[in-house]
Amino acid sequence: MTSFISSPVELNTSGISCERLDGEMVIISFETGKYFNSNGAAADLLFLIENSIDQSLWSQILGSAFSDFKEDGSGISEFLGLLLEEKIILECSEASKSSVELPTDYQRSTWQTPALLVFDDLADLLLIDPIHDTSLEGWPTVKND
Amino acid sequence: MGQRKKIVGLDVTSLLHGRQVTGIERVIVETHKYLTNLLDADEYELVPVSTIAELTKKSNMHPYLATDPILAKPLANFKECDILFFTNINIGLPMKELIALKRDKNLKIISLIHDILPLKHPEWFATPEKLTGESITLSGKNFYQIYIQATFAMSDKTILISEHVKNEIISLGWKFLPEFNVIPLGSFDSKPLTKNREKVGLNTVYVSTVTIRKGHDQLIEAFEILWSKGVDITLTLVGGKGWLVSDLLEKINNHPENGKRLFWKQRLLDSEVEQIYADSDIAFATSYDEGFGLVAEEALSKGLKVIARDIPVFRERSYPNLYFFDGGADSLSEKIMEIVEKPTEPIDPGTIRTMQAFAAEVAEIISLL
Repeated sequence: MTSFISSPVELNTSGISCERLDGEMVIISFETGKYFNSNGAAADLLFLIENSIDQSLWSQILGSAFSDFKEDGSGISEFLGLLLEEKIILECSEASKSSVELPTDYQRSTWQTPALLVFDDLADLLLIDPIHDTSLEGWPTVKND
Repeated sequence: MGQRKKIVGLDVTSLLHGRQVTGIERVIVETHKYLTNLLDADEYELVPVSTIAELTKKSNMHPYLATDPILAKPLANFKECDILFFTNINIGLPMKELIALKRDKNLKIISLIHDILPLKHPEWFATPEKLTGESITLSGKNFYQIYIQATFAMSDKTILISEHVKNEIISLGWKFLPEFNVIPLGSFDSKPLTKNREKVGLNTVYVSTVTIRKGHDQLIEAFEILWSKGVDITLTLVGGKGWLVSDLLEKINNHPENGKRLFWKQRLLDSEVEQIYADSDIAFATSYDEGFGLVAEEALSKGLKVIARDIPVFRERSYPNLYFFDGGADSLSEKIMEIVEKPTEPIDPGTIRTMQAFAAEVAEIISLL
């Protein structure tokens, strides 16, 4: 029965766009203009937060989903700290729900330390036209010619 | 004193590359042409804008793009606009800036989404699992998702070009969906062609960029079946080289019928494409998926019979001379033989939807903001 950080947390829904697709979460912060990408376990943690699941139940849920999950060394506290720092989540008064089924939109295997990829400067890629600047290797690889 | 004109900024970012013209560029240019006439010049000033400051107009622009009355004007500052219209994918949306303009200057944003194929079928667009730059690790699918999410969040009006695109978006199961306006595209030119009476035999055409999702593979297989049965019929492929098709291109280039009854033509003038249509009896729309699929409207408007794959986006159209096939090369070859025998039904002028009709509905949306 662990709380990974001292306070319940919730998604900062007024300041971000956060949508899941095939086990990956893309987050856009309207305040900072940053883009974030999380997949696998990290996307599942965001799913638990989004669904207001009490932190004390996370280990049970994640233990059922990931065969080798252990609280110690899971990296969850650090991940939550990063989410708070980037204002993707906010502290709140309580997490109300006690159960949820994790999405079945990807194949889970072993626990991977949750990571948040942060992109605060896409300038190099912004100059790519993703439709036409393609090589035979696919989109959106930049043509060499 | 008259009211100040509303400045409508039309995002031309994708046109500024100026390298080639596919269906989407034509949609944008034709929309610009019609909007110029449809919107009252006393009320609206239409200007080209780009959100990427580094991009400028190239001197060696494609001649078709040079016919765009909006692109011909000097680029304006998007921050000075009352309304912005994004007609194509633009990953370079300066989100923070646009949101501030919406809040502080009551900027209105209209976005046109052509499809979500990179989300539904990333395998058609990107073989690399991730983009890798010095510090970049992002898949093409993620990239497109960012664009779609940002567009949904910022747009006052979101235009989709078919019910199919709307259904596909809904099927993502996302939490936030804006209200959509479905406005189907239309043909660029609805004038039927005069058939070339000197052209003999049975001729068919498929106008489309050669990419894996367009179904060229099955189409060629269907023709191989017909040729093996002794059917004298030609297939002309018109369209540039896309991506992930190296095997297919090798097959076309080395095909025993290449240059005899199988032709692949690239970089044609519009007049040359018109001539091929005029010489043809049947056109194809064999894509495995599309946001709209302009090729069907285009060929129907030119008086051809069209055989399209039986997919939801093509089923949204109900026109004379439009036929559907389901399955692989065998069933397509059977359908070709069936349709060859059918007479071409006359189509009254105005039956096939046009880009003018599309632009008129877009103009209505602009006038509501």
